[in-house]
Amino acid sequence: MDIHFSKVTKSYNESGTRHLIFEHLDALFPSQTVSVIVGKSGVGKSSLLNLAGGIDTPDDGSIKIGDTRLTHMTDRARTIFRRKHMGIIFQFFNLIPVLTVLENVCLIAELDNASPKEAQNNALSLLDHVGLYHRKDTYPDTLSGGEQQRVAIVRALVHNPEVILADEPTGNLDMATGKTVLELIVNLVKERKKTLIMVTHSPEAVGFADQVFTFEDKKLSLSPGKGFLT
Amino acid sequence: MISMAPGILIKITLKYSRHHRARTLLLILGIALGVSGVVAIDIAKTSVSKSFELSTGLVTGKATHRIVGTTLSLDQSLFTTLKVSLGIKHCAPVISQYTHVEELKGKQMQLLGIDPFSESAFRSLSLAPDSSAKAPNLAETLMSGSGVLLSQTLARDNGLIAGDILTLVFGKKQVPVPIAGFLHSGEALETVALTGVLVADIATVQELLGMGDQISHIDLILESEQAVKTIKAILPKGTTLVPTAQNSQAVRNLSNAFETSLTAFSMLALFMGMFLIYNTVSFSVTQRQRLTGTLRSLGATQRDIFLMVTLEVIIYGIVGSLLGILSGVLLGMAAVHAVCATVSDMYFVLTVNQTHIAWPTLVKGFSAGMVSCLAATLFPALTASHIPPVTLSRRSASETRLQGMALGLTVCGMALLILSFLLFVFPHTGPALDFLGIFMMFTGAAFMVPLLTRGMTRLLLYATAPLSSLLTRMALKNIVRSLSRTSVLIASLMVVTSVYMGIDTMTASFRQSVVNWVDGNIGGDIHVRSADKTLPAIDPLLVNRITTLPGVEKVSAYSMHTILSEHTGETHIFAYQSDQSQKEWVWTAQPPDTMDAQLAKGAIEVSEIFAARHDIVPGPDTQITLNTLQGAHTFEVAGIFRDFFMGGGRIIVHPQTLKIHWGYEGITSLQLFLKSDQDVDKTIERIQTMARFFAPLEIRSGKVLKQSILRVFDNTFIITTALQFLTAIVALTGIINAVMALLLERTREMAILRSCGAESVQVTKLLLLECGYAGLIAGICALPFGLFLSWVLIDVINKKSFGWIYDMVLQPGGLLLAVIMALIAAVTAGILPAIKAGKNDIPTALRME
Repeated sequence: MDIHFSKVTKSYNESGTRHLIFEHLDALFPSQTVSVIVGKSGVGKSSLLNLAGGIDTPDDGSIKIGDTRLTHMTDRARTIFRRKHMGIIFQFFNLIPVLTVLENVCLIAELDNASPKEAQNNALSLLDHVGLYHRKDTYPDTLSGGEQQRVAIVRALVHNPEVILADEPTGNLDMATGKTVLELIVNLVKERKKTLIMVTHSPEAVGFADQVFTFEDKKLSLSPGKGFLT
Repeated sequence: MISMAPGILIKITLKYSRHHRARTLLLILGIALGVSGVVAIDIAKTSVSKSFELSTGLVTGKATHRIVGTTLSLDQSLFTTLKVSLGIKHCAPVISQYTHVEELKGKQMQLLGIDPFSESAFRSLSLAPDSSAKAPNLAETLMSGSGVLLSQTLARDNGLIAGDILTLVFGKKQVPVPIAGFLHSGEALETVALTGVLVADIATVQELLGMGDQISHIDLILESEQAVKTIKAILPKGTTLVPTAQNSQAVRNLSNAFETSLTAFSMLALFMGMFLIYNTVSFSVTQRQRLTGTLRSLGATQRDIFLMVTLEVIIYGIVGSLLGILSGVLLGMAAVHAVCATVSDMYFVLTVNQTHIAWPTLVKGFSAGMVSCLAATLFPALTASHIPPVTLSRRSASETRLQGMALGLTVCGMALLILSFLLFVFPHTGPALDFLGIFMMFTGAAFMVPLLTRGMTRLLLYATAPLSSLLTRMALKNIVRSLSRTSVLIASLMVVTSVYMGIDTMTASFRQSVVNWVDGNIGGDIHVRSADKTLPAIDPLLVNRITTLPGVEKVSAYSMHTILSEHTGETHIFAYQSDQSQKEWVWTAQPPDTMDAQLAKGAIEVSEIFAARHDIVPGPDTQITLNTLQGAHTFEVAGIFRDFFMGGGRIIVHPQTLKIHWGYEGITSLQLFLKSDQDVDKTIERIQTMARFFAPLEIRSGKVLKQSILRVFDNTFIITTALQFLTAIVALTGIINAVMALLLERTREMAILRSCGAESVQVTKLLLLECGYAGLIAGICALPFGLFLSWVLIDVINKKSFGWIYDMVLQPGGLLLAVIMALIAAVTAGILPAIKAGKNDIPTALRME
């Protein structure tokens, strides 16, 4: 599924003042590619990711994922679309503390009324792939940061979504662990031919990307030699 | 199409609750306590109904009508006329009088004098099989001697056998009677009913009571309207034919308002339970904001979240409601005795106290619990469903949002307060609207809390500026910084303190009014009245001797009787020969100093309760019709006075009016005002000596009488006080819950403080200061709402329930105490969590999210 931003404008209100994040932004994230967005903190990278995920809506413009125009959907429709077609990896893992590792990774499938058996089989297989099969019945607070992020990666993939959105997935990890996690994400995405949009500060991520976007001065620009803008 | 799978969401929510067991248990406890109040009061009310049914059902029997005299007695020749001249097949003369029986531990019984030959159509009384072999049937047993028949169950429980003597007590008059036999029934309820009666031959009872040829009433079974007309046509003046069902209902209705007030108070406890649920769920929603945001990001819809929150509370609601039913049954069984005692003291005698637990009561309790849970959860569930996905949400955003909404919420709150005020001011019937008004009032008050909290903290910062430490300033600023949490805590503490203040002010005001009334109307150092209930008038010679004792300065001498009127039912009537009481007039047709002259002309004065009960509206031609010996007579109402006389109120007439219209003469009661140098006890002894050759007298010091009267009034508020405590417990569980949650979620914040150099004791002190200031703010904010509630309870609910009107008396000490209690409650709730926060392991706490 291609993800297409067309003339998208986004701002936010704070203490009665409107702050523009970006204006008339155009971008194409082709299907089955790895796109990385880099830029300083606070420029709006995560906001763009929220728009792509249907978590937020733009002030103006249009966002299409495949043939689906996200910007014309209700919150409910966007939520259902998101859980069927997207997986999200957060910077702070956001695992549910009261669920076991296995329950956490099967969460989205259960929300979507998918076959529990099929979900569990996929989950166990992926957990095994990331080396956490033996921790399937433990709770997240007993895991290290790297382990928690690996669980989050499995959660994002277990329901076989077309698109993966990763918001600074290594931001809360040390360099070595971060590198391992990054490689894991990219390998899994490429293996399964998914579309990945990743916001990151990590220089290594640029090396894995099919296209790299830089967010600067409220504009998104494509690095030369790495994909195209629209 | 249902898009959610509730299973996983319920699993998350229940697992979350398992990690916070104490809070979950407190929530369930709060629901249970609220439901138990509703169930307990309903059991008490249905038990009163059942007890009334049993107390009166057996006596009424199958009678469809009853002939009664306006002076509660009839000449028995009327029975002869009905039976012989009119040929009425089913009619029976009856004497009914209440008595206490010493051998049955002073139990109050109804002594029933019946004509055994007329009896069979009315009551199916049967002798127990082991009765005396000499007289195997009822009529022969009754007519064979001067004994009474007693319930076999009662006799067995008290170790009594045939021939034993029972001492029947009528005031101070004691009459010994032998047990002639035992009554029994094959039906369980009738067996219970029999424990409230003693049955004897009518002639025996006439002799025991010195009634001559008088009887209490005549029971009839009339099958046609024509029969009713025929009898009405021959009835002598001063007698009335009433349908028994109507009569019973009229008596039963006397206590309706009292029972309604109990229901209102139990609903208050339930409302506090709702508030507790609302606060706990709101807190939980706020604390799980991140979890909810994560679920939203991952694909849970707003409806999924709404259902998740609601289903969780439904599960607790089911558990809490079932527990509440169980505890309510136990509380109800304890409440029955208190409520029946109050009803017996104030409205009508219940000779049988039967605890009755019907399944509709249990259903009502369960439904009340579930409806409360759902209603209280609606807003928090809606709030939860609107929590944005986690990548969009910031804690600071929710605080900023609430800060921004504070003014809007305050405006809504004030609108609700105004609406509730209008609801109370405009006339309406039914406790449901009163309850709605109270609910709106407290909801409005809660909406105003965020803005009030901001204002109060600014005020406190300013007030404490010269002396305040860093910790004080931090504590006050933290309260505002975490307004989304602290406002919920302050609101719940404010509401419970308001309720406490309101009920406390109401009972204190009422008590003061009663004390003032007793002092003004039942004054006197010594009270004397006939102790022989069969001979109410004191011998005139004795009256003269007592009132002319050297130490007596002033006297109130009056006659007090009960009459029966078709329109007003049983009515207490007073006639004063001399009156030292100080009446407080609500209304007079003429200037108050002309009242004696008005009475002499045949007008009457009525008490406020009587006027309210019988819709007597002050005006130029205010009148009331009463049954007299001459038939129905219309009296001018000269004035309405404030009064706390029990039951349905009372009327005052001139002694001549009493004599002419009801045939009563003489004095039944004296209030003696002694000279200042006289000893009360010695004077009482002199009177007792003087009276020893006359009919027995009841002589009490004014002090003792006042205490016994106040005890009766205090008893009416036992249930209210119990409900007040129940309400406080329910609310306090919510406060403990809220404080624990508030402090627990700041574990990481406190760990950061500790890692920066704050000592354990400083962290503990900071948290306790926050709790203390929150409690103080809640207590101060509670003052106006507590007073508003007092006004509602006094001027709206109490007036409707009892007909009593009294002034609100503010007790500054009591109000200050309530504020201090709010402070102490908040600090106490925070002690353990604050100490724990101070002692937490820093590295572990820093890792917490």
